Amino acid sequence: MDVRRSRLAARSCNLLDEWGTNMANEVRMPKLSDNMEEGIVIRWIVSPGQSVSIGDAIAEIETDKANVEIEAEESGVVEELVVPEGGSAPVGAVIARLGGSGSAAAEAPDTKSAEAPAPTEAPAPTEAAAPPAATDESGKVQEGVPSKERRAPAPSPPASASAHASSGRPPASGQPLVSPVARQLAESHGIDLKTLSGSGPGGRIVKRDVEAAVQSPPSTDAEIPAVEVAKVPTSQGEPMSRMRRTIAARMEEAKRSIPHFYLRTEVDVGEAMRLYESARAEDLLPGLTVTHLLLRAIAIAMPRHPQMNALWVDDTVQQIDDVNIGIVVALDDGLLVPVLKRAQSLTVAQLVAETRGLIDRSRRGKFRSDDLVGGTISVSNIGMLDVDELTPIINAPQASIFGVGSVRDRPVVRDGVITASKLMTLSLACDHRIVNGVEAGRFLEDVKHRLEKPLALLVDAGGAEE
Amino acid sequence: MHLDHAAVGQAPRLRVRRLGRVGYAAALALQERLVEERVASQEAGGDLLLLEHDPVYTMGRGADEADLMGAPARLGVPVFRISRGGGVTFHGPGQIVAYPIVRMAGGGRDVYGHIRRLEAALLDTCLGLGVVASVPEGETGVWVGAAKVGSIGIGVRRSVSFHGVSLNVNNRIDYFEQIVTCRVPGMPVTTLERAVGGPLDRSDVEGRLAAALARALELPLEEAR
Repeated sequence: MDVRRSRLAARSCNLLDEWGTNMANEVRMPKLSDNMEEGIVIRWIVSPGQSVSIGDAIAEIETDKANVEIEAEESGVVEELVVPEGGSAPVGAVIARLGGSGSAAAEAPDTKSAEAPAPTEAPAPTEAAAPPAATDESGKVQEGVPSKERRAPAPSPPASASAHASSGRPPASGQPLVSPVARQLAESHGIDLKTLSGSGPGGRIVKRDVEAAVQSPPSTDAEIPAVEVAKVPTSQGEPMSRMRRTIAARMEEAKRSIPHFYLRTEVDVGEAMRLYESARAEDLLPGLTVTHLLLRAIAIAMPRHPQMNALWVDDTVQQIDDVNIGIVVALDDGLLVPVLKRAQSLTVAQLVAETRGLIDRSRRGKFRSDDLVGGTISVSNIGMLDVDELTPIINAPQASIFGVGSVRDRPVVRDGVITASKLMTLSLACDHRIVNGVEAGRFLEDVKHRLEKPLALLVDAGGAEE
Repeated sequence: MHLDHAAVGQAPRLRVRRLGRVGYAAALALQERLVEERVASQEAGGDLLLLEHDPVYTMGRGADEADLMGAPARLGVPVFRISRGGGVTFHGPGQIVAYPIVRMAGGGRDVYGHIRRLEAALLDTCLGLGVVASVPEGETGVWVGAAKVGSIGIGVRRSVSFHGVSLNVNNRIDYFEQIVTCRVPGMPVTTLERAVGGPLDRSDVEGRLAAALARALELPLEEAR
């Protein structure tokens, strides 16, 4: 179907509507609540060619927290399913057509050939693209009438509606597909929906996309209005962002339920600093920091201390094989702990790249759902500040967490001689349900020694592991 | 199965059945049957199933499988994809699950209103226990402070609503931590016992929830024989 024809289609449909011509029986997205703006066709219960009678269930629609089966209000034969499964459509948009057994069918061909192309079978959401008409229409979709009232001549534009309804990417010039909750949320935070890309079915913008935008105000695009920190009123009427609420609840729970104990040691990072500086001077391992060396030291040490590599799940200790390290990332309004997966198999260069990607995704709110899970240990580094040490709270269900302070020039007595050294305080908070002090102490000692002899950390993953 | 409650002239009622621990599949089958009967009978009113499930993850028809994050296999917990709205959630012992299978007013055209009624019943139940719960703007379900304590997800078939609400009383919450609950990564979840800081009597909470649902749905309660 070419673009020209689609354009024509849109016009002829509007004309037909204005004349109030009785088209083939159209099934429209019903308005199931006052505030419903669109729904998703979760499932078609009928297929093209099938006969339906009044009252037969034809589709399952999702809106808000409800799945609703909608019923045929006319009898007829299903001619086409306009919206594929997984696709969303605004209230009032045509989602299917029934050919009547009599007069309606006779009128149908006109309408049908004039209509924007629609698949006769619902394609998988991934392969369904918006019909060409989508890009031609202004995208302005009037709210249609509920299907019950559709016999009244209504100025609803079926072509643009069906285009809009497709599960493909959102119409380029039109409005993005948005869930009602997401729209509400975006409005309350002053977020322009056009600036978001949807992660829901068919590229639909869903709540989590808006939340991600709220959590991570874009910093680079000057045209995007500054986003106010999310304010969600609690029962006390106190504004608190979603992320703040999450942190509050998780930390309160962790501090209360996990029997923490703490170990602390000073690490001589003189060699690590020299390594870091010479790498930078030689432009080797761009982006490398002492934090990466610490991550690498943990990755190598952890398999030698399997008790530490565990989670507290179902009131039991669950040890895992991979070394998955959470990295506490500070955001303007809170923090996230994305997890560096399989760290034991990463070279230092890979580790630098992976870490950068994780932090970047987190800051942009574009993390994948598995980015945030699977860790057994985390690293919280405030070494960029003038702060000696940090005693962190464990990120449940992980077993432990490192707090990293800043690097200090300190006098150290070595072999009876006072020398200037660069020291960094490393704190380790552990869940006593999972590990004991001695085990944790050995682990901390191991990490410390590896960090103090950092050259071995640069050997590639396979070599360093033997 | 005969509709023993459908005596001529009887006002619509919410007939409550306390089922105790029920496997998910069995409860689903019972729901399906009751929906079918309610659809066929054209009767107003409804049934209220009160129960708890063995550990199970359920996902709405449109939920993203990735939100399970592999938890079912990892923890050996079964998964059901069902005809309700919403994402992935968990049910297990210690959580009260209520399935009001009722004919909705207005031919089922006010789904949002129906959900708000269920929500009101959850808030009401919490309040009766001294817990001030709330519904954050734009959300569905009820929260205590920052953590979710009650969830809602319904299905509607021929104006009859089914599925319903779950209220965390003293269930384990670690199962929630293994998934993306209700499409929100890292969503904190809590229980009523944590909120009140002490043990609760399950049947008492169940009774309160049944009464609150009956009030919210404007149907008098009737104990099933």
